[in-house]
Amino acid sequence: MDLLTNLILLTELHSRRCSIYRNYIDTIFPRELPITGFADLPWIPVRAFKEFDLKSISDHDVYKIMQSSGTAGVQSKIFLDQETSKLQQAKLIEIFAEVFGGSRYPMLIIDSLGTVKDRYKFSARTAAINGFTLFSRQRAFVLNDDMSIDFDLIDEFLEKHSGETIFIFGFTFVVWQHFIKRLEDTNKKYDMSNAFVLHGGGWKKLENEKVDNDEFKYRIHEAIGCEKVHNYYGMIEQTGSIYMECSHGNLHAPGGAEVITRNFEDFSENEFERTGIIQIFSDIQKSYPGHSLLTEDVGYILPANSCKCGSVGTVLKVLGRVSSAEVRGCSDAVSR
Amino acid sequence: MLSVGDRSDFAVISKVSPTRRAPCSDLVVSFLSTLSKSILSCREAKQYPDLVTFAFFCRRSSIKRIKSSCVDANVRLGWGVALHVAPANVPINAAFTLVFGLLSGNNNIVRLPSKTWPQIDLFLAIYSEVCGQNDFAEIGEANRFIRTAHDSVELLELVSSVDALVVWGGDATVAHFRSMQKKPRCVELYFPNRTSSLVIDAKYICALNEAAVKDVVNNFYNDTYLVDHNACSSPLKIGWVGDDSSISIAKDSFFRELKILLSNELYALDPVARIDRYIDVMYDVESSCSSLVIEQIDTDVWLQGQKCLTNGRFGRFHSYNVLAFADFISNLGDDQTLSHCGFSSDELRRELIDAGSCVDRVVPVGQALNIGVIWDGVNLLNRLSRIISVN
Repeated sequence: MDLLTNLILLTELHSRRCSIYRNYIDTIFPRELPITGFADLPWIPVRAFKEFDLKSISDHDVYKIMQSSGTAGVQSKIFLDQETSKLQQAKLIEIFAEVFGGSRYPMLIIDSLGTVKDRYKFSARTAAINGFTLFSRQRAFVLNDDMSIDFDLIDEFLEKHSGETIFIFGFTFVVWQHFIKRLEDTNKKYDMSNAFVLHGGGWKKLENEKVDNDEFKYRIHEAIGCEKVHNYYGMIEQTGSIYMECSHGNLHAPGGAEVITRNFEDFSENEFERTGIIQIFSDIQKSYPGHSLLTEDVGYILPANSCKCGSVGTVLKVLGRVSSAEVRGCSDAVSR
Repeated sequence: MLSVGDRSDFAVISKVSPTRRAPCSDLVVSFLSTLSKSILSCREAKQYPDLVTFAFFCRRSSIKRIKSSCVDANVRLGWGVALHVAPANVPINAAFTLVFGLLSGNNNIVRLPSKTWPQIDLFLAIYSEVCGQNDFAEIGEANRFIRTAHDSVELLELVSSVDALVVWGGDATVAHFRSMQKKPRCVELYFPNRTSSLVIDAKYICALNEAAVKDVVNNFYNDTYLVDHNACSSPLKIGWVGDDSSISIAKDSFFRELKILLSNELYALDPVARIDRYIDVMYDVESSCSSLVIEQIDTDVWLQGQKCLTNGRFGRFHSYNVLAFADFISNLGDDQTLSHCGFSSDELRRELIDAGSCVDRVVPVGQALNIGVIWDGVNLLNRLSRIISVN
């Protein structure tokens, strides 16, 4: 079955099983016109997972609840059953293997063990680190709990795995702030030319640094001699279906996923190249209605064949976040 | 302007003396008149309609009218020092609440919300300038604007020392200040969250020509979209009165003009606010455990057939059709303001009184935001001053 049909079926499935979702889409998308394109599919704002418990499975079938810390400290809650959890893993393996091959690698994590250890700090970072650990043979955390670099650990790790391909993973701003810049500050250089770097989580915290993807890659190369650096775009609400940067530097929609953008005014679908609000589709969300989400990210899309890498996935250019509303608050002089 | 953070600043505030004046004293009236002239002659002020409205309110002729609404003004005095907690949703009310305090004969401390607005900064600048004039030094000394953390020791001390407290706030702010320690005789006035409605006579709209409909819509816009419906008096519910066919025609012409107005480049809504509107609907379907009927008339015009459990905002209204105004009264609940189009205020008031309604205010569409000395059913001049009686 094609993706659109799968997504229509998922809409029906979640309508049957999640009453808030059903009542919401019956209210907002009451049209009876046939769905002929992705833009016709009902959607929910990704923020809904921060405000509501949206699940399409019984409490008994909840296998895992993923939570991410949001900007205002409010967490997204994603309910997984075993099936969806497995599908997420399978999807991640599929995407990872396409770019990096199907093996497991010694993994250097540009973060501190404290990030994943502290259960109260469970975050998108923890989820991503644990998710990608799937591709590790042995993992080591490069940063101490105070986010300083553990140089001894790196030396030891490189010695132990000399000659092997090393998988370096981290959040974009952590890699930049606590690794690359620290290495530059201390004039420390490594030869990690046999490694590849995967990083994600967004560029928002790097806005003031005026660093783009090219600069980021260049500085990594300067510091550790690594040329294979890939960014990805993804969110906890669609874990698994990540948009991986190809060898030509473009993010592509993975298999079983699609992306469109909507204009800022009336939310109608944008054509290629036109900047708008990013909406993402994915067909592996069986336990919660997360298959069609309006994000709060801004970007534009290009047809897959605009990139010479050969991927069939739509190209996504992420430009940043939707400007935060200067909403005149509900008359509370108390709020500071 | 003082930020009460350290004790020395607080000492200045503490020195605000409880000189009591008669309501609308000559000094205050001439101060306000000078303030009004200064605002109206300031080029920069012209871009802030709320500041201009405020300046008109402060003119001598307008104050004279206000004085006449104060019962026995000649045998009254203010309570002493009044602390005002200005709201965070309607910027200019910080200036209005000061004026209400001045007119009723008190010395005033106005606590501003932490958020700043250009028109308030401008107002403060002009205010300080007028206070700097010799004639008004006394007013400048006895009246202060402050900013404080909401639970600072200084604020608690201040609240416990004043003779009157006026709190414009959300319900949370009101509850917070109500629970604080005050002088046993402290006079307290609270303005918690309220909602408001608009009632439209469909036949009246049908009879209007295009220009007149434009006027009505413009007034409606000023009451609602201009402030993101965030004022308590902005209507969130719209009652259409008439038979089905007139309502249908009236809505068509009303919303045709509204669409034109909203497409005007002056109106802009953040995408995040638009997303908020979807989240609001999700809250409503969650609370009501059912789907709702929403007529999406335009990008930012949504008419919800069922009660909005979350406050309508960003262009979402609760819309009813009723045969007669009387049928709409039960939907008003404990609304504050009833705006109307095509009715007479006096007649609507009569019907509200007969029905025992909670509504406090009836105004023609376009005047919902015009604050006055009578608010939430209370004459502030009377409440913030006391009568010295003789037998």
